[in-house]
Amino acid sequence: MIEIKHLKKEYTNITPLSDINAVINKGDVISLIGPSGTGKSTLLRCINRLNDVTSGEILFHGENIYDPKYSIHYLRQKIGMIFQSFNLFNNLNVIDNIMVAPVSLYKKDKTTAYKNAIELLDRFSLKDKEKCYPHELSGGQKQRVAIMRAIATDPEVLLFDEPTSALDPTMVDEVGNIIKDLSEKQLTMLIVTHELSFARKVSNRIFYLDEGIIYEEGTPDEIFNNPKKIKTQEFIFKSTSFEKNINKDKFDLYMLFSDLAKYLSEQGTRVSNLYDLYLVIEELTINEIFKNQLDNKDIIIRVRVNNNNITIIYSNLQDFNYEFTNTEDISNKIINSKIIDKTIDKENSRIIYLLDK
Amino acid sequence: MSFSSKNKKGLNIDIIFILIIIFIIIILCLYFFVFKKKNDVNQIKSIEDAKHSTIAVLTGSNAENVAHELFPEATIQTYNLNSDALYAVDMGNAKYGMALEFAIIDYNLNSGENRLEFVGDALDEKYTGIFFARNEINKKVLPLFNEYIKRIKSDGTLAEIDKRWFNHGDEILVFDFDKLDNSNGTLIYAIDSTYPPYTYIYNNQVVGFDVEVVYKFCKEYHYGLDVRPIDYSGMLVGIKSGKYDIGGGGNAITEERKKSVDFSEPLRKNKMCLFAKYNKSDNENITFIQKIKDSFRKTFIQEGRYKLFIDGLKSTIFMSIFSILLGTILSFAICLLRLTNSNLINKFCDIYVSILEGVPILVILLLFYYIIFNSTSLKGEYIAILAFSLNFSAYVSETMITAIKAVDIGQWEAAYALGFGYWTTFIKFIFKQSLIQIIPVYKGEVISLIKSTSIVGYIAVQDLTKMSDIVRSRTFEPFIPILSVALVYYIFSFLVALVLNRILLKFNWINKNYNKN
Repeated sequence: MIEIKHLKKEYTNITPLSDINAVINKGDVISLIGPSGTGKSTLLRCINRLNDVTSGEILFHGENIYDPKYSIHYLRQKIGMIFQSFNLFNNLNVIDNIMVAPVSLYKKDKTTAYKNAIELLDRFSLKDKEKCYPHELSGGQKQRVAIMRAIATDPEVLLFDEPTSALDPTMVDEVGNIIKDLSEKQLTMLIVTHELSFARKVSNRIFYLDEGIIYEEGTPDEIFNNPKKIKTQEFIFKSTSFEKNINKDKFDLYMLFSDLAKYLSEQGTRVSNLYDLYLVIEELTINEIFKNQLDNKDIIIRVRVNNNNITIIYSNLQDFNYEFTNTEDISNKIINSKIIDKTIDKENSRIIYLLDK
Repeated sequence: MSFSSKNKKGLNIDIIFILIIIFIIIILCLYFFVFKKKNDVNQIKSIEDAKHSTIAVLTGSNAENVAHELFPEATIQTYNLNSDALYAVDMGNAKYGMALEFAIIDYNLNSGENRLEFVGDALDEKYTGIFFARNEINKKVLPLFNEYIKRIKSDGTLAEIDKRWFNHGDEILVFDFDKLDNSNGTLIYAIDSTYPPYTYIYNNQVVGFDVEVVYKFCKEYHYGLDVRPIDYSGMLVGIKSGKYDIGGGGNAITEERKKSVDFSEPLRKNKMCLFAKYNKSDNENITFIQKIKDSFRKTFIQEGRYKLFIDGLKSTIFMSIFSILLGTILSFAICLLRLTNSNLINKFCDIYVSILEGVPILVILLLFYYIIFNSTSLKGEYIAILAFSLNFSAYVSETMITAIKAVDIGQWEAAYALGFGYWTTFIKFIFKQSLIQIIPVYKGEVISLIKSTSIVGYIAVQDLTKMSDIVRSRTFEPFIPILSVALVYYIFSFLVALVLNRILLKFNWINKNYNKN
């Protein structure tokens, strides 16, 4: 449906996209992920020509959209866009926001357009907000209206530019469900997002962008569980793990737990026995790590929940007794019963524990 | 926010409150008008004393020259209206004044009592004549005119005319300038409409001693007349620049003036006198109400003067409305030019705005009238509209562009992404959203424009303010004309602001709430 060939986008001092090649099929839901500044949004905006490209081409149904003869009017009717900050027209109420493009741009009959808009409002359960102005809506409601506005012109492709970043964490699921719903109707969607769990849940393909190219692509499972390339691995691990600095002298166990719980809930990660995880972390931190730490510098603790297990990493252990003198039996017992693997990485001054989930 | 929506009751209370304040101001003004300063009865008045005192004179008049010459150490106060100079002495703002003998007599007659008295003998005596510009047409007209004057002097016609205008109580002659046969051409005749009995306005008609002489000359020699009532100083500039062919009346013939303009043969002799406030008022027992009634009658009823105010108001409204319309179109155009983001165009707009913001509007007006459009016969009203709209556009375009640029860029992008083009996006979404910022500032500019039209008297436009000057010069009573003009300006501005507020409410989505219950 969409084919991107050797796409290059240059600014005077940076080149966010150097050589993008991709084929997007009908019904695909693709998440674009990657570190900041790797041109995810730029790529998205090139697809509906909000940005111009330096070279390369994008074929939509086999025709190059950068051909001067190509109708930009048609392109924008067929490719809708949803923005991070919603960008609803502030001077129009909800129903007019949805109807304005079909009526004044695509010459739809006013009564049909109104009927369609009402159906949409009904489907997205916003029927009572028909006459509200954007400033009267909550963030999640605004985003729903923005999606309705985009699909009111019957597009084939929807581009989402960070649709969840301006929303409450609890609203993220709401948008996720809408995208799932739309994908059932064979809409093709491209989503730029920073929320990896969201990307994982809604999409069938993931593009990891780095170094100006699509560095790695695959199914969510491939990218999140078995990334092949080094940069992808680093990115996935870093962005999917909990990280906190702790210090022997001013250690607050309950602060650590509450931060961890907050992180896990934000990520939508479910741990079957959270209490066990807390217990292990408590014993490990106090009775194994702090006891063998010879200085009193900050230590970094990282927790990552994988599909089958949980990884806990303590790093920055510079002056450390790696021989482990642990006298307390009870804590040894607890630790040994849960830990399935323990790697001591002296070179990088860290210890990696693997826990059964 | 200042434009919060008012319910009907709130609005009424506002209006009542404003009316009460206006009423109080009027009462206070009238109070001071009646209980004006009283002069010390025992003051000594002499020419000797005047040398170290204050002297009120008409700006640019012969009196001003004489005052500077004879009383170099005195403080000279200059007024734009002869009647204001007289009134200043009456009110005690200046101890002495200097004016022509007949003007002082006229003042006392009009007041119905002796308010001013002469101090000493006449200081100066000058022949008066009519100004002639040094231009092509006058090479032919001036000799003919002088020949005509000599003739009417010898056959007694001039004496008859003199009697008609300088002996009060005679019937006033009215002239029909349109019926003149203009087979030899049309002369542009500028007059100071506040200089009775030489040149002034009576019953909405230009009349006076000199007007009659000029009219009779034109009738006999087949010239048409285009009469332009104008401010005295404006008339002088216009004659010097050759914009007007002939000007004024009762102008003292002096050597200095002869350097830049020509004079007709002398028509009359005028005495310049020093005067001061009369020590004792004859009518101390006139009541407050009577005084107001009398003043009101003089200002509006007598000689049908209310017609002058109506004409002036028409002119003010005409100029204001068209300046606002043209100015708004211009500002919008400048704004669109600026949106092109071209460096050259932006530079041009910057220069345009900085010049029009940096030069006072009065100076721009004079520049247009006497220099840029000097050779054209464009009416003062149209030149004023042009000057005001340019000035207005400079301010408003800046506001517009700021408000437009303040609209979130995301609004542009969202519209583009839906398929809207540049212009539709701009009109449908961006401009409509920026109106919420533009209109409050725009309202201020509109009101300031309406008020600044009061300066057009300088370029021969008879607006509301000028009309009040004309009436004041006849009645010698400033308060009622000034107060009523102030009130009319306020009401006009208030109504315009009300209309703009209504428009703002229409575009103000922030106050549009939809509550189902």
